[in-house]
Amino acid sequence: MEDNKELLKKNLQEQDEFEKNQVIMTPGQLVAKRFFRNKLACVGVAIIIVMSLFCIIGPFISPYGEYEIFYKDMNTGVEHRMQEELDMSQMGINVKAPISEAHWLGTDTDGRDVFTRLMYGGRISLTVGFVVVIIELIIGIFLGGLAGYYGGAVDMVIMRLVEVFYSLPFIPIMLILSSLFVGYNISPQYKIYFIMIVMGILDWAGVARTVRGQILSLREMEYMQAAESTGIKTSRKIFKHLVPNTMPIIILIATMDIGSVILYESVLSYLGVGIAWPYASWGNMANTVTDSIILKNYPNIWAPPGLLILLTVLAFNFIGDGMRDAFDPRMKR
Amino acid sequence: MTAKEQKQRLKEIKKFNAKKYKEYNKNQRRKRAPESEYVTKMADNDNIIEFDDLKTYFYTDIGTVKAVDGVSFEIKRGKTIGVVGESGCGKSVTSLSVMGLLQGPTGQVAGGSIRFNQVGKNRAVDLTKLPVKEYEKIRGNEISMIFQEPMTTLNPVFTIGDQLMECIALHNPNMKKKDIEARALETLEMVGIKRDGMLDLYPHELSGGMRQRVVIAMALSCNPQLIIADEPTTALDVTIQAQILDLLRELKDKINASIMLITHDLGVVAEMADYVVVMYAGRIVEQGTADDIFHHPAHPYTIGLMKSKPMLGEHVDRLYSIPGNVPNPINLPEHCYFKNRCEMCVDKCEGAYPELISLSETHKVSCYLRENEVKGEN
Amino acid sequence: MRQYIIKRVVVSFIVLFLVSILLYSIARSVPGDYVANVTGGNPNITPEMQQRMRELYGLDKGIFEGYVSWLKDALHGDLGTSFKYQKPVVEVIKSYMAPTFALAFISMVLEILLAIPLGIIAARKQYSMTDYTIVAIAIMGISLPSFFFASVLRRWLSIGLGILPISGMVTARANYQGFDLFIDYAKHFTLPIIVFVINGIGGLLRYVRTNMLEVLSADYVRTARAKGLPERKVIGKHAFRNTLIPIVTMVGGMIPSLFSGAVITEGIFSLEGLGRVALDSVYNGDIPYLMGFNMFIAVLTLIGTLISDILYAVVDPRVRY
Repeated sequence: MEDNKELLKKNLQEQDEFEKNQVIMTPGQLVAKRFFRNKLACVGVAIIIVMSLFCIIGPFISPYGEYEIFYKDMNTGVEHRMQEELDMSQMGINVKAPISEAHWLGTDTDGRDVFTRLMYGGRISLTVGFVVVIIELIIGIFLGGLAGYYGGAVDMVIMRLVEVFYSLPFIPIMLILSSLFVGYNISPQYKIYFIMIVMGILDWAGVARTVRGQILSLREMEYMQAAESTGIKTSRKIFKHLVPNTMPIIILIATMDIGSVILYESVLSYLGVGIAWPYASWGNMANTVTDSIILKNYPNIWAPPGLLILLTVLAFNFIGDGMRDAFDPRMKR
Repeated sequence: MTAKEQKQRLKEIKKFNAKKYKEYNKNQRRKRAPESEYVTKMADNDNIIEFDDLKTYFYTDIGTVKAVDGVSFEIKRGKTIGVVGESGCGKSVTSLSVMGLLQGPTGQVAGGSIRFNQVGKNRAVDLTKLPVKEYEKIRGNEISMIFQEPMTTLNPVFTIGDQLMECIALHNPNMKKKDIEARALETLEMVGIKRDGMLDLYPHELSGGMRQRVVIAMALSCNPQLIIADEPTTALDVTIQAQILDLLRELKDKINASIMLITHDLGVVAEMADYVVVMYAGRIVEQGTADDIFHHPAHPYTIGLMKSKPMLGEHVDRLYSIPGNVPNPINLPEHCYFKNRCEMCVDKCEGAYPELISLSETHKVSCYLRENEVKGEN
Repeated sequence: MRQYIIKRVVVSFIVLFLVSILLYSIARSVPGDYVANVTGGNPNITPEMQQRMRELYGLDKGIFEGYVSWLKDALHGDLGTSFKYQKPVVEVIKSYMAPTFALAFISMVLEILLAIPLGIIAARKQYSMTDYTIVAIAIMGISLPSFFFASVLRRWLSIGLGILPISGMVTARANYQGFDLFIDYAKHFTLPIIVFVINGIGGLLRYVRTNMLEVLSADYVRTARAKGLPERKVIGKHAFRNTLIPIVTMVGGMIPSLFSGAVITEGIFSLEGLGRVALDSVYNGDIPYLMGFNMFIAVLTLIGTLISDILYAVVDPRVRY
């Protein structure tokens, strides 16, 4: 009998050894694998990396500045930079210059280098995207968490607020608010901040609703009831058990929303109520398209910012879609 | 295993799976096929269904899971067979293979055949080769299935009547609406829940036990030859379990259908089954009559299962449990799958997987320990 | 059922009340000399009108009293007088509503009719080439800045090929009658509707796809297959009815974004609708109109959500009234 016990022990060990040699993946690895299997998601990651490099490092490499205006000698046609000592009587502004070696995408209606402005515009557009999403996440997670955790009257009040914000049409509201900005004579420099704050405030309802739903369903889970029955502190319950489990969905919303915020910012700038001159944003660069002569003859001015917006938003959406499939074990195959 | 090796292996798996998926998708497009491809002959016309070396594999990201790996047994007409084993041993997959409900292209029948005796039509078909259109005529009609979760198996947005009559109307296209309704009520009466307005209720208006009765009524509605019950009582509480088991036993005699009862509960098998099949890690380790299995278990695994069942009136300090865990189903070793957990293993167990050997007319086991006990010529 | 509807209506009124407070406080924060500042050079703006605006928003009263008097007027259908049009806002809305509704309604119907079948097809063939293509197109639609997309279309179809009119609602000075007029309208609305549909379809399509995937893995779909139902019926009846539940709830929420879209599309294509007027109002400082417009959309949205809620109760028998 002793003999048998020994043998069994050895055998069980052997099985353990054997299984160590099998391909076993942690849940994190599985998520990553499912994510990277999605080719569109990989494309999205690549686009975002390239775009960030372009916007963050690009301006250091570009020889020109954001507001730099180029002049042209009216007699010789030679281009001059702003910093040079110029005889202004002979100079005209080099507007709508064609694509050339000096200006990869030509110059715009104010004689500034389009390619360089794209980099600076991207900085603003991406910053707006991130900041707005951070604001909406802070408000949304806080209020959604409160509503989901406490329920009852708190939930009732917060959910009505969510409905209020849901029934506000984003663009029309921004139109009124921009009238306000005009009314208070807010300078373009501060307007950027105001726009980010306002967008964040208008956008939190979706986050709050999702977080609340998540927390409500998590509270019903057995493991949560198990945690509750051990009598842990409320704060620990929320931050150790509930919040981490809503993380995937929050990351997902954040990714998707960065894309849509960039899109909305561009629309606002396009309508002339967003980021204002002299600051560049992809939206106000594409605004030139309202001029039918530019629309017809100068696609090098209006098309690049539009394409960059499209690519960036597309990338965030691809990543978000990939994440959704990767996080969702139902989609496993 | 180093990270590089792992990556390499994952790549190979991916390539292999892609090939399998492609083959599968090609085959699935066919809705019809000539009869010669799927009509076969039964080995014994007394059987309703014969599994012959059935192999059902799942091609997953981390390797091929051989959920069912060479399973052969048969079910006699009008008899009940119990398929037992731990979770993940392949018993549910066997039933899904019969119904053709595997989640393709990941899950596929990779080999072997399932011969089904179409008594009414006087022919036999191989279910693994059946084209979709023919399958639809058999599912719900000649073979029907009772699922585990009564809470989710019924569609929440349609009434009970709608779902019951849909099945009857589908397989009896000539029946009039009035007759269909009458038949629906008849089946509800058989399962003991006929009552006014029952047909107009929605699933959420019924309790779990009631819903399971509706599911059973649905399975019975077209007079099937074979009913597959996949853990029909697991999700119910004990008193309801007993009621449902009583109902099934009662119906078994009434309708003269064969029942394939899949469960991990030996008690249920003992009450219901004429024959028992014990599965472990996708293979049959032992099969025989209920008497063979319960009174003369031969395989160490079966013996372990019996020992781990609490007995009334018997005093034990600690209930027995089989040591170790079910092995990882990917890349199983060549030798007996149970070897590493077996308390009785011998040197020979290191060798190839043991063949199924007959201990008596009905009793078969796959274990080297029993080689000497084989009756007859050996 | 009646109780459920009454409950929803009451909730809608509460929300509307909160919306009105919010909108009022925005209007209230308009600086006192705003009208003079923005419209300094505009001879149409008389001191009398500035006074009217002050009265309308009760700028000369306390916040609470001001709100009450504004609300009283609003309840009587008086949302003030538009500066630009010199007419009551309600009338301005009435006279410019037709193109906006035509645009929004046609686009919404097209979106629904396209998104549902495409979403179902994509879900059924998950991870296939078809699925990838449909999803990629859907995401592309969401990510396209509408003004950019519209510009490309105009550059290509109107300026380049000259097939479709570049902007406006009717060909000027053509004086079409009857059917010709209808065709003329149709031509002018084609591009705006394309922009609208492509931009809006993605969200709905993805939603349908995700829900369909969820439903397809549900046990009752397996049951339906086990009954022997042909795949067409499994999807068309059992799965579809279940995906309809979340879709119905989504449609009501589409209204605000439809109007946001209307502002942009009408602006680009110079369609004389509510959105275009709103855009003009920004440049003219026509606060009363903008307020009225937002209030109008809020009311429409709440009506939409209310209809959604009721439809939800109709398609899902599990809803407890």
